[in-house]
Amino acid sequence: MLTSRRALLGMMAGGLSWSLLPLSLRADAGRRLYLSARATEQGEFRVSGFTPSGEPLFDLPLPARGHSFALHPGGRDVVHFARRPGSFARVIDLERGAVVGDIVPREDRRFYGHGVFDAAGRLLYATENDFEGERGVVGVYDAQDSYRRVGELSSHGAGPHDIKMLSDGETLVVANGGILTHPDFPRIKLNVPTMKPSLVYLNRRDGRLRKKVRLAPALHQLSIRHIAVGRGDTVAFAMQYVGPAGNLVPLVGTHRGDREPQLLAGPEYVLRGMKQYCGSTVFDVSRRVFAVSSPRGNVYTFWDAGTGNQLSHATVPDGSGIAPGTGPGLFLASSGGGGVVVVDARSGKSRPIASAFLDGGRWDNHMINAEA
Amino acid sequence: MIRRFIDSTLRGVTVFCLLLLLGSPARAVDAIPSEAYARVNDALLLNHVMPRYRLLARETRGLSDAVAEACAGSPADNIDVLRESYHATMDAWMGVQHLGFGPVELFMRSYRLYFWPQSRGKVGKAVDELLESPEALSGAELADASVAVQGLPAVEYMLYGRNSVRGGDSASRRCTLLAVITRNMRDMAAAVVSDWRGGDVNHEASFLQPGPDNTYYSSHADATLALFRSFHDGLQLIADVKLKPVLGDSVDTARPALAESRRSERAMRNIVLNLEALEALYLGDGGPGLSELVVAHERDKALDPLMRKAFRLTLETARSIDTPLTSAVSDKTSRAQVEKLLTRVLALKQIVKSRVAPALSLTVGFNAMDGD
Repeated sequence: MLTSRRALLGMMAGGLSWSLLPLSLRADAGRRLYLSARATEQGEFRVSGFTPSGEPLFDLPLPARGHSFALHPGGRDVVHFARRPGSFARVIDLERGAVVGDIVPREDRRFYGHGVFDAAGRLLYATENDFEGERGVVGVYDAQDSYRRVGELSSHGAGPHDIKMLSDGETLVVANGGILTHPDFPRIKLNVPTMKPSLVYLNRRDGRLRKKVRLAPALHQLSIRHIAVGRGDTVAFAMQYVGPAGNLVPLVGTHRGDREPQLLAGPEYVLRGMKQYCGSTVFDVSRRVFAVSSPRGNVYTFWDAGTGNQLSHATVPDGSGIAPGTGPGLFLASSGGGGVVVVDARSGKSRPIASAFLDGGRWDNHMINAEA
Repeated sequence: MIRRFIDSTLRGVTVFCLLLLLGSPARAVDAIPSEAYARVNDALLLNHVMPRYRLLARETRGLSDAVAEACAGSPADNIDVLRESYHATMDAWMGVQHLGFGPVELFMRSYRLYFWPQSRGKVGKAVDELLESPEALSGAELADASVAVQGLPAVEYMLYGRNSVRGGDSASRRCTLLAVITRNMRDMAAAVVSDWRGGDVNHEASFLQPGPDNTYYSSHADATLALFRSFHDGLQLIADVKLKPVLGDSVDTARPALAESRRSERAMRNIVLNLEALEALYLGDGGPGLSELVVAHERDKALDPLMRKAFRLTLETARSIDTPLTSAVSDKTSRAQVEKLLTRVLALKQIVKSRVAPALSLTVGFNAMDGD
C-alpha cells in the first residue's frame, strides 16, 4: 500500500543544494530524462533525475540506499526500488519531480530491488524474498488502486533479482540469482554450496513456468542477476561468480526462445579485468548492442547481441550505472566515484559530460533513460 | 567489494577520463612501489596466514584424536575433554575466519568447515536426519553430504545440543558420526596447509609471484588487496553479523537466538579472537604488516597511531564483557557495553575504509558490493 509522503516534500525543499529546472525546460528537451540513485559527498542517499547534458531536474532524499527503477509505460510515474533487502519502493511523479508515496512490502517479504510494469501500466511486478519460505516470489501490485498488493507468483527459483517483460506483453523474464538471504543477516549468502541460479520465463497472469534456463552444473555458483531484452526478444544476462577467486568463467550471456544459452567470454585479459562481477546490463537504442558494467574491475564491456562478439571496453572507475544514449551504439555510463561519461560502443572511447551536478554524485548501481 | 582504481590487466586506460572523474589526480597514481607491497605480502603469508592454518590443522587433528579415544571408551564420561578440544579448534578457526582467500576457497572447504550463519535449526536438522538414516556414513559419503553436517557447527550441536553424544541409547551411533565428521575436518584443514605449498595450483607461488598470466593476482598490490579485503570484511562480519542482529534495536527486541556459537556460549570469545587476529594482520604478527605500508607511504602521520589506539580500545571493550552475549544483550547494564563495542568496531571499520584504504592506494568501491 501507498504511504503518503507529501508532507516530506515540504520538509526537504530547504535541503536541496541544486536549483531545479523549470519543468517546461524538460518538455523542451523532448522528455529526455535520466534517472539514477546516488550518494552525496556527505553520504546521504538520493534519487535524481537529470537531462542528457547533466542539468538536474529533481534530487529527492531517500530513507536508505536506492537501487533500480520500474518505469510506467506512460512515462508519468516511475517506481524506485530500495537496495535489497528493500523495505520500500518509492513512487515518483516525473511531471512534478515529486514523491507520490511509498509501496511497503508485506511484513514477511522484502524487495530485491527490481520491478517492471505490464504494457498497459496497470500492474507492477516486483521481485521479492519470501525469507521464511526460502523462495523467490514476484509481488503483483495494482497501480490504479494505490499500488495495493493483489497477488504474487513464484519466481521458480531462489533469489530473484532483475525482472523484464518480453514484447508479447505476457511473458516475464526473471533472473533467479540462486542465492538465499534472510533479513536477520542482511546481505549474507546462506546457500553458496548448493545454489542453483536460473533464467526463468513465466506467464504474468497465472505464473505458469514457460521455460527455465540453467547453465552447466559446474557453473552453479555463477549467479544470473541482471537482464536486458533486445531485438527479437534476445535476452542478455550479466552474472556474478561466487566460486573460487582463481576460476576464470564467462560473466555474460544471451538467450533467445527455445535455443540454448550462449555464454560470451570475450578476450581473456578483459574477462580477467571484470573481476568475476557484473553490476548492470542494458541495450542501446537499436536494441542490437548491449553494455555490461563491471564495477569491481572498473570496466564496461560492449557486445553485439547477434554475433556474440565483444565490440570494445571502456574504463570507468567503480562504474556500474549504464543507460542507452541518443544514437545506436551510444551509452551513458556513471561512476561510483562521481561523474557520467558518454561511451561509443564501436570504439570504447568515452567523453565526460561536463556537469558539476553529475561530478558531485557517487552514482549507484543502475541508471535508466525515462524517455516516454 | 573492494578494488584498486587502476587495474593493470586492462590496457588502453583512458587516464584523461579517469583523472577527471576522480577529481584528485594524486590519489590515482600508484604511490607505493610494487616491492613494498611484495615485502608485506611475503611477511604476512609467512607470519600470519601459514602459522594460523597450521594451528587449525593441529587442533582439528587433536579433536579427531580425542573423539576416536572417547568413543573407544565412554563418550559421556569424556564429554569435558571433547568440549575442550572443540573450543581449541574453534579458537583456531576464529584466528583464520577473516582469511577468505587461498586454498580454503577450494572445494568449498570454508563452508564445509564452518557453515555460518545459517537459517535457524538447519544444522541440527541435518545432523538429526543423518542419525536417523539406517546406514552409518563413511568419510567419503560425508564429503558429499550437506555442508551443514561437515563442520564445527555440527560438532557443537553434537557436544551441546539435544542429540549430544552425552547419553541416550544411540550414543555410540552419534559417536561414530562425530568421528567421521572430525576426521573429515582434520583432512580438510591439513589439505589447506599442503595446498598453500603445492597441489593443482601452488597458492604460495601464485600469491607471491603475481603477473598477467596469474589467474589469481595480477600484481603485488592485487595480492595485498586480498589481505586488505580480509581485514575490512573481518571487521564488517563482527559488526553486521555477530553483533547487530543479536542486539536488535532495543533491549526488548534483542535476539539472543541469533548469536554465534549459542550452544557453547562462546560468541564473545569468538569476537575477541577475531579482533586479535585482525590486529595481528595490521601490526604484522611478528613481521611487517599492513601498518608498515601506512607508516611508510601515508602523509597522514596521525593515521597509524589512531589505528593502534582504535584496536586497543575496541579490544579493551570486548574483553571487558564477561557475561555471555546471549544474556548480555537482554540486560540493561551489560547491553550498554555491547553497544559500545559495536560503536567501536564500526568506527574502526570506517577508518579502515575511508583512510587506510587510500593510504594503501586501495579503495572500497560504492558499487562493488556483493550481489547488487
